[in-house]
Amino acid sequence: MDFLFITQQTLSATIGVNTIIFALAAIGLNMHFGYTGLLNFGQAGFLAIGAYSVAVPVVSFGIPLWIAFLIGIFNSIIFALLLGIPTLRLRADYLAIVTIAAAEIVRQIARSATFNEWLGGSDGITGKFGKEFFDLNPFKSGLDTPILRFNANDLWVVIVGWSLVAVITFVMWIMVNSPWGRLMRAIREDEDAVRSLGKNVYLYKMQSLIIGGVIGSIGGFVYALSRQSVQPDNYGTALTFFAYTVLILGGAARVFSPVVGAMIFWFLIVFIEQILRQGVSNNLIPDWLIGVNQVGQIRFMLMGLGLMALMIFRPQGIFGDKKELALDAKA
Amino acid sequence: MLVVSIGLAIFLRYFFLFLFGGDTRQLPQYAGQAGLEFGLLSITPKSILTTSIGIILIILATLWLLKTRMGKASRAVSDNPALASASGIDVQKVIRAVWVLGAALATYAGVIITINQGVSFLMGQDMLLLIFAAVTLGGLGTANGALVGSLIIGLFVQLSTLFIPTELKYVGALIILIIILIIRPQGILGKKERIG
Repeated sequence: MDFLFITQQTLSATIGVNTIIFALAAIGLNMHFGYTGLLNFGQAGFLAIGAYSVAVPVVSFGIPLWIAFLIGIFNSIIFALLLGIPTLRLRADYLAIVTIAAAEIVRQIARSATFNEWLGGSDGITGKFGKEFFDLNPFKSGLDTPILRFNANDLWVVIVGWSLVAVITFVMWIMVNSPWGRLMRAIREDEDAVRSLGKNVYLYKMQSLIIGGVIGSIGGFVYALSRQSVQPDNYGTALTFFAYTVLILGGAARVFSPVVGAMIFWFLIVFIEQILRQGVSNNLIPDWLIGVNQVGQIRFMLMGLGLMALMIFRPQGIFGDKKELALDAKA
Repeated sequence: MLVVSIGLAIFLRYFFLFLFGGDTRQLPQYAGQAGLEFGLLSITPKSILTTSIGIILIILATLWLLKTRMGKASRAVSDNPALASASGIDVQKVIRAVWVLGAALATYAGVIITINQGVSFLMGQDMLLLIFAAVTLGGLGTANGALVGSLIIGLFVQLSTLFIPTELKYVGALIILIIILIIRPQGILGKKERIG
């Protein structure tokens, strides 16, 4: 077993691109679910909107990348309005059903052959749409140390990505500690009480949905740029549920928990995968038990089991406060 | 409970992938069964059997929900768990019973799909959203709402391919779901006071 290699891979993943994407997706969900109590099961849809809004205008219509970012934010606001207007007046489960359905609609339209010309069908879009972004890259070579390894492009994405996460986390911290944030938590605890104080609950829920959605679509920007391609099947319902796992792992309704949750999540995933891979290729794990191609499946099985165990034994997450918000495993 | 069941679903899906691999497999004895002709209709013996068992199960489930003490208790729990508990209903027991029965019905649905379309580890995922759509369309918390919703969704999905590309047929069903929620959020059979 090559422990140095395992350490390098694991640590690089812990602060890597995927961690940034999941942290952003989970910060958005934290706004929705942690602070306002909205059950948004369509966060993958917001990421897909963000990713496609970066790729499609640049590749199919030749619009500059910086304008594509604005288009992406605009689109995610529209998407949030579309989801919110019919459902936010209804019981919580309606939002859950509509968001999960809408995210699937986005994915299936993106992968359909009908819109192949613009959206690239099931292969998605691969191209140099991030050129303007990577032209600004000051790093000529990547980072290659025994414990961390990034190529030049990844290094640039990681640095810009973490700066984004820091800024957004700071803004979140200001927002949730303002009177506005208190109102959000009040809506989560008792909507009727807030309404009786003369506040327009519908409007505030809509604001929460839009803000969380925009943060999610920024995660989509990072997803698209870091890979220089968008593939529709990356934005399935599994992405939403893993973002929830990240959020619950860290503890909902804490400003830093999505970031820490994402780091722990990817640390565990890559660590387990590397250990299993090395074990299998060095014949430490017998072949009849786990084949080389089955390591990825074991990883997903453990993720499912971990999510269940977390909900049953520690629903408030690692840093969560039981008084602030404990997810009821029975509800 | 919701998130726990999602965790279980992810685990089971990849557990089956681990055990059986990623192919769709058919049941060879039933794959290409010859149909029996009844005038204009042609129906295979396997469809007659699975459909009649299915109809019996639907009738039993409806009777259970509407007539038995346990069924009434389950509707009370769904309406207001605290009040149900206060009136002497063992809420935990009701929840357990409902989960077991619901899982059993879903398992039979799995058997029907397997006999007709073969078995693969992803077969549940494709159905899940349409099931949500059907239940919401019919009306959450109504005994026969799911049945009405399923009929509409099923017919719509198959007939809509006459007008829209086949690959977008599920999109059509989901858009119908959202439109229904805007116009009539309680569903077709639902009562207005349940939408909160």
